[in-house]
Amino acid sequence: MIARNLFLDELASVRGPDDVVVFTMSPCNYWPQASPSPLNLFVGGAMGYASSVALGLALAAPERRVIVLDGDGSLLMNLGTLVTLGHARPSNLVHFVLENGLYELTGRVGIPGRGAVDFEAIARGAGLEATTYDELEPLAGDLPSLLAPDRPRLVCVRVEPGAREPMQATDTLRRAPELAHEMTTLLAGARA
Amino acid sequence: MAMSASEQGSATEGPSGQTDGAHRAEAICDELVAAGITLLAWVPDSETHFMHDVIEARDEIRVVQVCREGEALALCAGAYAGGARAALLIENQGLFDAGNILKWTIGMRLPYVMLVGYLFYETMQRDKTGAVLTVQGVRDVTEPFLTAFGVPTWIVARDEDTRLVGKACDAAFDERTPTAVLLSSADRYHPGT
Repeated sequence: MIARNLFLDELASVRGPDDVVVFTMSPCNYWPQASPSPLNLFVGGAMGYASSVALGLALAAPERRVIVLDGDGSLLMNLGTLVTLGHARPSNLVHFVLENGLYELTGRVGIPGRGAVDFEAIARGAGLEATTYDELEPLAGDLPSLLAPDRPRLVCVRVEPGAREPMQATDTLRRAPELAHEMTTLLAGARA
Repeated sequence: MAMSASEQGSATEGPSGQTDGAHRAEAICDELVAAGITLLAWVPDSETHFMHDVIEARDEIRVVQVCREGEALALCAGAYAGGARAALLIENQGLFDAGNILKWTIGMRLPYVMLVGYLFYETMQRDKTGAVLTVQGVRDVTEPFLTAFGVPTWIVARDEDTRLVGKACDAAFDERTPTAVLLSSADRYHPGT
């Protein structure tokens, strides 16, 4: 099992300045600190849909790499997204699912199928490339190649539950619409 | 979100003057293209059957089929964030299932246009006695659902109404809010055929 924030640190170290990251749920406190960027988009209050938002982004901005930080509980709420991604086949989207077996932000109740659901197998069955990691070192070593897909990919990262800490009412949450608009403006300006 | 009588697309008339479904579908697509829509997320359904072949044949718009209606709303919102204008094509019953993501996209001010098949709209029109044959709640809930979320809404039930799609597009991107066009079937497709 991997410490979630150590994984996020590794991802932040290879995240390019032009990469868009769509994140949801438990990374909400740490990711903006680990990788501050106007190209971060937080999907909160719409659990399950980070990957669908990311797909729209990836299709609209094919010149950008789009990275999704999803949770296992979230992914279960929109499992069809794996089939949609396999069908649409964006070549610029990498989907990470942080698997801790819990709804970590809402009381740490186990997800359905905890310990049994195999996201890698489901993703492969949907036509995606898929890999699972439960140790940080091989994941960190593979990150550059994982982030250079020519087809959509699911990367399952088995993480330890994070420390209990309050969900913070940071700018990420409070200014989410403004930050999204700033990102949209930035992406449009870069394309002009 | 009240529509004027002229904008309701004959909410009080039957679907008179209904012609070939493909003709209406092409006109709707023309409105989308004119509004700069380049992406459309889609869950096929019976009431929007008249749109299917036409939308897939239009080179100007990339059609992305999704598994569930909520994905369509999220995808369209993400597309806007990425710099594209998107629309979706679903049915009203699926829209009900997408309430939470609709709420999120409204709050985030990520606009798109929803083309929503209005199942049982015609049935309501044909039976003015009130004895409506319908799936419970569908006809009664569709417009109140959109009103509850504050979604500007138009109804297209005749070929002449297709200009309202352009109006919905303008409203969406000018006001940065999702808008909806409820589509009555133009080909009277019967499920199962």
